[in-house]
Amino acid sequence: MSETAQTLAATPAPIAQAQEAAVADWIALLKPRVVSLVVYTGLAGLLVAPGHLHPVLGFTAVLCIAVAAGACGAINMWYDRDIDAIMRRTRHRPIPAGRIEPGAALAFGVTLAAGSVIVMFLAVNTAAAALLALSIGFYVFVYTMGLKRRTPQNIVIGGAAGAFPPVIGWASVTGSIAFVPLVLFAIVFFWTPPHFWSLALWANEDYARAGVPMLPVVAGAKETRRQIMLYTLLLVPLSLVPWAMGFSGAIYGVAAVVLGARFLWWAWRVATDRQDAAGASLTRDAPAKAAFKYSIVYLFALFGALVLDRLVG
Amino acid sequence: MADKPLGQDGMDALLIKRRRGRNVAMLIVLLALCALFYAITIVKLSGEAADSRRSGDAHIDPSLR
Repeated sequence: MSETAQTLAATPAPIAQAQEAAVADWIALLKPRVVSLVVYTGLAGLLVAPGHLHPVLGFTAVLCIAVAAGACGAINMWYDRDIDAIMRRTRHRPIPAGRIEPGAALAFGVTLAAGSVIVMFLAVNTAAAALLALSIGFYVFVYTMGLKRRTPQNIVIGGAAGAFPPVIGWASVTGSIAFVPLVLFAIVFFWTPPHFWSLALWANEDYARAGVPMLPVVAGAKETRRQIMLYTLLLVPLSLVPWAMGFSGAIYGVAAVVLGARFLWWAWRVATDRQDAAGASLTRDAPAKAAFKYSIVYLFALFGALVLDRLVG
Repeated sequence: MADKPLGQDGMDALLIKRRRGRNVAMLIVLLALCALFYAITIVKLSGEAADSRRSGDAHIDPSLR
């Protein structure tokens, strides 16, 4: 037995290898941070939709959206367990750390996904349930299994899955889809690339090691910075559409302009970050880190302003 | 600082604690689901009763009018 192996054999199993997952591990499997953003945009879509939905059914609709998003996270972690084990950022997740069996995670995700669609269908309406099923299928089959490991456009096309919640929230109230929820869909869709690429810029090594073809890995940091700027330039005018078409008032209009200007400023800072000839940041990607954090604030504040405008106006 | 190594007794206690935590969480989730399904049923029933009242349905139970 080698010295390393002897040392390992003599070392007591860490808590993580106790093979009994704690409640926190099952919650971690649901990616609660992602769920919080999904719930927020879904709730916003529900609150700004014309018509009335009983609060109990509204709560049920939002719960179904949250559970479905969590289920997608669990199935994603099951499918990506091999690359999660390689990436520094994800190697402590419950499956690669050995605290939850992959099969159990898959069963957990599939059960929650099916349950959320069934309850949405029985308690809310068919349109919302169909859209929820579509978003789950898109995230699992198109993004996770289809795009993520094949193309640097993975999060551009796959971003559609995360853009569904406001449409589902709207459909929960009205039972149909209209132009406004499609605009909200487009806002989240165009917000996704600058958000994720800001993260990918400084988590570049992790993605490269795992062989995930994120844009910075495939096209380089310079091109990624340019793309962040381009998508932000598309996003900001798009965010003004609800105000321009008269769906929302001055509160939202002013908020969209101010928040958008700030987002453009951060995108500009990322694009003009001090870099070497190869495009590697000389500031440890400080602007990209700040842009990533701001992008979350942006989406929360923008949808918050939309809801506030509709409730006050 | 490194974690203090656990002996066999410590591991057993930890496993029991985790299992109990999961059972309690499952109980809470099931009770919450019961309450939610009950509330949904009440809302749906009262909604149907109101719809029937509006449409003048004669078959509706008088006690629901």
